[in-house]
Amino acid sequence: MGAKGYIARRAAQSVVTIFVVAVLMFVLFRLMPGDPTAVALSPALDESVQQEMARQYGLNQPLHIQFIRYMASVVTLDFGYSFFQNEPVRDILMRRIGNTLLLMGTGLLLAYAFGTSIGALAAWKRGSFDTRVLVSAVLFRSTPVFWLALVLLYVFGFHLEWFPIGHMVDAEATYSGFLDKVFSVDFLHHLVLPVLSTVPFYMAYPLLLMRTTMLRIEGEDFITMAHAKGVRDRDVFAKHAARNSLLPIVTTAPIVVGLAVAGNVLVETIYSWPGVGRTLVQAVLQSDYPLAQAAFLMIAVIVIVGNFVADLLYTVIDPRITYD
Amino acid sequence: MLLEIEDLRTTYTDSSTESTVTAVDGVSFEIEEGESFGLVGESGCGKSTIAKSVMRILPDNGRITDGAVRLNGEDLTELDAEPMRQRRWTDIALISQSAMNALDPVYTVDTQIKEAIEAHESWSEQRMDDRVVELFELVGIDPERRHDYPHQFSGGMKQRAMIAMALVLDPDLIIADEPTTALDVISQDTILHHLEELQAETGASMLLITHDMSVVAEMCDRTAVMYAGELAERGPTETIFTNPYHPYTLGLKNAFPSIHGGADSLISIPGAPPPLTDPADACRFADRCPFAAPECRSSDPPMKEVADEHEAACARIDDVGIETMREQAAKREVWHGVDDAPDGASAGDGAASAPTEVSGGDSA
Repeated sequence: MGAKGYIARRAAQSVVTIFVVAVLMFVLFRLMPGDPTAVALSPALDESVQQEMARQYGLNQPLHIQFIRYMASVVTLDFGYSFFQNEPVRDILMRRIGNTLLLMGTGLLLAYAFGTSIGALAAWKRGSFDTRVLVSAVLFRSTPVFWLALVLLYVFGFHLEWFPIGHMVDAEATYSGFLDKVFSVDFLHHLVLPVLSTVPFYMAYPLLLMRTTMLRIEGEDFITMAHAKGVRDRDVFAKHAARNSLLPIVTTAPIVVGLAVAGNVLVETIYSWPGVGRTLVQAVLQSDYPLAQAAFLMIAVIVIVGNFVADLLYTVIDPRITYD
Repeated sequence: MLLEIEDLRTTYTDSSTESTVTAVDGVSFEIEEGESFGLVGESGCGKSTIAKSVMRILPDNGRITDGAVRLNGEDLTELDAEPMRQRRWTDIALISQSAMNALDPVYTVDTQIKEAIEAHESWSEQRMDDRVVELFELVGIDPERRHDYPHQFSGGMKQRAMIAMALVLDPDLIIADEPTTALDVISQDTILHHLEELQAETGASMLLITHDMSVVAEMCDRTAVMYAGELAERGPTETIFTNPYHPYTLGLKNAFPSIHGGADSLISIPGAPPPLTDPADACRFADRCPFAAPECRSSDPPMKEVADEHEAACARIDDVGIETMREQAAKREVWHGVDDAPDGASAGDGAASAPTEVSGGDSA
């Protein structure tokens, strides 16, 4: 089987996984304590209004009909109306997914760039540099994201006032579009603290893994051979040792994406970042079921797509992978 | 003289225990231009360490502490890192012990051969490509396969590719460290013949390192036998095999199957080599040697001439007499009686002249 067949099969598997998550979501939300109708339909309203609203939301239908309608809505990406914001759930999330991906993407990109290169250098240089890196990495790995976020917020936002304490842009600033906003100094200024809160935690995993793999790869015969060939040290390091050590880094990337999704929910909440994570927390607190369901599903999709991309990358960087 | 190794001493340090292992302890030999020189010895005797010392590709904990390695008169141990890097592959190439793992799995064979060129020369892409094609034809691999990854090659093909890579810059010296150990007997033979031909064609010298006596017998002009970090014997291959002097070589000959004798005629050397952490001033082979005397344990015998261009490091040759030694060494009971006489004094002459016990089977 060729590469195309493999990609098609992995894509199909991803779609099935998303479908299963969607079913689980439906079941879980109906197992949760509390009656969704009691939240959405205020008892203060007139009986006939209540019934009319229940009909609108489809809450008066039997469970299996609700399920079919729910799955149909998943397929058509129509998640209905938010209970509280009186706006289609899809519109709310579409506005926020970009913000979440920006924050998470920046954090992951920096974490991987720094994590892999520092990990590789630590293994290459050894000695006291390695020890210091190792201690820092273990420290980073055990520092909870929410704690670091609060400390940074307090020190650099509240106390020193170097950075804004929340939101994506200044309240008074106006931008003509998404890109205009994203490439503004104002936005970058707001981005610093939330990203700094996540990078240490995200980078610890690739750093430690890179370091360990490098130490193993350095003992391989092809490294000795590269030295024997008279290849310059920095090329042996970059082209052979580090290049080969990247393979497990890519394999484990989905784990870090999973961590990042969880971390993002916390950071978005602490820094009032208008993303999917914060929306999710608010929706759950307000028992805004349609919004919460769709937000959960969206986060699941991010993780599943992350896995899929990692698998594709792996076929590119390791020639030994066969497609069957 | 192309390569002169003089009193080479290489140590490894274990950072966790602070202990030092002297893997190579005062080894000297020379290789002439165009010569094939064999270095035989069992695993762990330090023969690969010699290869790594010559190329200065020892692991971080390995260090050349003494001696000289002269290539065309220039002492490589004195060179700075960059000039040393330039000598590698242009002057000395290596065919590694494990061709299976000596190629980087993520690059094509073509890329890896060209990498060796690029590290030293600035040839055009066309010239490099022509060279790779030429070498592939020389070692008998279809040049169409040069863009394959190592995992797409068989073991024999990888070894051929390694040979092609070693020849790419026409080195003066090729170090072949167990070049055929990982291969089956048929491929071994083909590769060795190929290597022999190519060496004759290119006029390069070869240092062939192996534990396989038959490989050396077939390929090399002169041979050194190594034991526990030291040379035991050195001389023309022919006489090393027909008329060995050192008891260790005599023992090796016994343990080596002959086409004339059955498997039961093999006699193993009992015991194991001594640890190299803290070598005593004694003959390293004394504890396993049926001819050992007290003097063997009080000083390390130097290499001395025993025949024309033939040296051995044994203090007992004159006392015991080489004819008696060869005669006795061919008897199973001489070797396998030694174990039962742990006392050094009686193990010497006593074991040689009056074996205490006849051992039945081969000891494992």
